[in-house]
Amino acid sequence: MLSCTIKSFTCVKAGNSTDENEDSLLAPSGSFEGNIRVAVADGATESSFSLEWADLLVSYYKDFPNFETDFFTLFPDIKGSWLDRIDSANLEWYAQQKLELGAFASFLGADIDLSTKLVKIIAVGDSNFFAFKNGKMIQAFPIERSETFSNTPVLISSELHKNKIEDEFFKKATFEIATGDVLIVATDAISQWILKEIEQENYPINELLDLPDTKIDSWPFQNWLDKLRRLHLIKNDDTTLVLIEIA
Amino acid sequence: MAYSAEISRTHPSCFLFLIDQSGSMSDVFSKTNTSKSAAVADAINRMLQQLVIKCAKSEGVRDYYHVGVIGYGNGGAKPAFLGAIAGQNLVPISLIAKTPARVEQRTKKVSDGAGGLIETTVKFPIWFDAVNEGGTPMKEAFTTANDIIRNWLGQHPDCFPPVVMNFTDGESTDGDPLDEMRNLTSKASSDGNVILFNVHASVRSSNIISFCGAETTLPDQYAELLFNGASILPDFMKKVAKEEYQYSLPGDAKAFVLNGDIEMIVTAIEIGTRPANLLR
Repeated sequence: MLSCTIKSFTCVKAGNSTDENEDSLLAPSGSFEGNIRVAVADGATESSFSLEWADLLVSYYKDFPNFETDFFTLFPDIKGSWLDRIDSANLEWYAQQKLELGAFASFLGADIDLSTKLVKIIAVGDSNFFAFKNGKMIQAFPIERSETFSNTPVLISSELHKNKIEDEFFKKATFEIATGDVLIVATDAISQWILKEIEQENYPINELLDLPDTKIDSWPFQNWLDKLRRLHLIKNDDTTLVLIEIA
Repeated sequence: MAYSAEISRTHPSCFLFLIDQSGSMSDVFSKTNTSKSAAVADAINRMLQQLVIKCAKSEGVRDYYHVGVIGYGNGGAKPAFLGAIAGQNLVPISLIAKTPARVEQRTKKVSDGAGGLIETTVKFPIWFDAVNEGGTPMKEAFTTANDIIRNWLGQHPDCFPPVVMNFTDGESTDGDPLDEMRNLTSKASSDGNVILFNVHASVRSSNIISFCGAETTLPDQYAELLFNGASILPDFMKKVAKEEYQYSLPGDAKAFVLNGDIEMIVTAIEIGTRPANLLR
């Protein structure tokens, strides 16, 4: 039977206060067996109340096993919960008008079944999944090249009509895991950095595995990120990373 | 690389609008049956509303921008804002959000969801009113703009460069403003030079010339003055003009419009305020 160890990291964009981090994260720390779900949702800077929206997407993914197939059935509940969190009756005129434009977030969820050795990934937008074997990246999903990241990804909106409902709203992939694999779930800035590093034939996974768990000490991740930001090697953005080591 | 600075609360940028409020601005656009002054005031009040909404976050409005509106006409060049911010040159966007002089109810046609249109009422905040009286002291307006932008750059030397947009329909009546325009566009932050738009309005909706280069023949010296004073459009604005408005522009295309109707004025505002989409 496989097991896994999960470490997670999140850091607000430079210049913002910690409580302005609009990334939401589902990643219990520790060692696990059986089935576990990991997710990130990246609330869009351009919209307001997007952290509340991102939190709800992650929370519903955690609670509903068929989240992606039932998403549009669940949608009124998710939207209702979002509005419940906002005191919409007492908003200023601009906040009310912004609210009417909706909140937006990218989403990526990974359902890791250690008994069947299968990971099922669903994604909307530019949060990304990576799988490494022996230090080498063997899967990147849904984005495979660093230049594909843009400032206008498709996102999940709280306004139903703004969701681009095509044949497949959630992009889906599966991955078969084995002992020694390392999986990554991450928001866009660090995902783009990982792909750039790989395109330059570097081994970013080693650098990431050396980071101590944020639950123990958040400063090493913050310092590491600040250095990359200073060197303009990574976009200044809220940044979230989940590392899953399979044993 | 120029025009790449981050726009944030710690590194805000600014927009400054210079609005001709002379008597001739009372002429009426036949398409919309509104005067030039009312159409320009509406377009800029709407732009301010959109900028406030763009900067609004859950906790309030973030000061990514400071904005000024200078009217020039009877009585010279002076701040056009009314109400609590009257008399102020540049105002942080969060304060603009809190201080419209009044909020009007306007009607707007929206989709009824079944292929038709229905009329609905929307809130329309007003920060300044249309005025059309007196001459066209454009030189004084640009002298004022130079003072405002010099102060701003002194306090924000590394900001995304300010954008100044001048809306007019006539010749300057207080002397040649070209030196003041050139003085303005020679000013720079560490991220690039100030961007100046000269937008000329006409009620006739004919012979519109927009974002042309030096090869275009202009009808008179007055048009040449506005053309010569305007900035060359930076690449990121050319990209917007090409991708969103299907303009095919020469490399030396200027931030310049001649004989613009109301649609062209709105297009120029959309392109000129495009740094508002660069928030990070």
